[in-house]
Amino acid sequence: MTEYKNRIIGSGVEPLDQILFNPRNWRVHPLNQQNALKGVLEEVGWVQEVIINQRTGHLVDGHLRCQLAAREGTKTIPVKYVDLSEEEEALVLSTLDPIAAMAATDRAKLDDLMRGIQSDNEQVQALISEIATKEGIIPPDFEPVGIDEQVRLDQKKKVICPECGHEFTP
Amino acid sequence: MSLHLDWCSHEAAKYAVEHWHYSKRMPSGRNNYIGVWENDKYIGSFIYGYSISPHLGSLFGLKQTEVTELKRISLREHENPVTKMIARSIKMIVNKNPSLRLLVSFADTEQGHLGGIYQASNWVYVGVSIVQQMLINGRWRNDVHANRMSGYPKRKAPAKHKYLYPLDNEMKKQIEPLRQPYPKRGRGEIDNAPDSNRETGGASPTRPLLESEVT
Repeated sequence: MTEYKNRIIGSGVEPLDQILFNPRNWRVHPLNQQNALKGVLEEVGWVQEVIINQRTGHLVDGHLRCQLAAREGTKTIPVKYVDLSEEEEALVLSTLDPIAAMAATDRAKLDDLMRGIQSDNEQVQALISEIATKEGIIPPDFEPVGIDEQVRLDQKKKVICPECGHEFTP
Repeated sequence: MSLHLDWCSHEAAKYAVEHWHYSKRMPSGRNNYIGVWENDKYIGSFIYGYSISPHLGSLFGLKQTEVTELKRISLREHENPVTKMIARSIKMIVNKNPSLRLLVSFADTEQGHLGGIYQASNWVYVGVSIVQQMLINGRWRNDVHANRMSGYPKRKAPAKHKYLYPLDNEMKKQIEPLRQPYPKRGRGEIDNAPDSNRETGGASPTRPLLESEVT
């Protein structure tokens, strides 16, 4: 049996102006993501600490949370401290988000989950709607199109000669 | 539960493939797109089109314009049977393309698919099909020129179960002798397609991954 090493060495609360952003952070955060996080933070609050590597002092996870909190005038943020070498920090920094994004979706379970969510927060509502569309729970209202929009599969495509304009089937 | 099949746009078909088909990839080539609506809600699409292999029909003495492939069935949760949808989609394809004589479809063994819907729709099973693939831009691609091109890594693609559906009596006479017994799932085997086996997608309670899920 494999026992994984525990690299977490503590947790606490850190003043936002003391947090050192990671110079190798490769994530950029579009406005809709900022709004989505802001909505959930307003509705629920902190449920997960940002991660700081105590050996380098760099933030490893939670750049957007820190930026958003600072913008809103928050003074402190919950922090989890880890102890990693620079190489390990690079590995975690480059893989943490992509690994989470590799998870697939059980639409029925997500559908059930979303039906239980009640929120008056506009940003949360927009986020839920976006997730539902993205995950195929609420598809757009596609309408039928005319038969003429379909090509004939039992006929070869016609070609028009670029020189003389003659149309023929090869 | 009302069922309506009608022609749909490339965009609608693409949405269905990207959200409800295991491959998440639109097939290339000339295609016809059929949408499916249940109670006026869009629930998926069927895509028929030219096969990647222009020789698909030559085994049966058919021209490329006489055979077409059912390339994708991309459906979200639904209430009407797929067999009913397949039957209606075939009628539409034949009305649009009256010179067609044969339909072909494949079930991906790599996904654990056996082609149960084709079996239930009485398609003719003719065995497994193995094609050569080339690694181009980091992706294994079926290519009819794979045997002749050099410089690309090649492999035999995972086998696919091949099913045929003759559209006229003469073709039926020609195809029927090729019929083989339908492949069946062995005891203890599970359908590995994520969308058809919800049990593999849950995270609660946490359970150990099976060896078969890791490899």
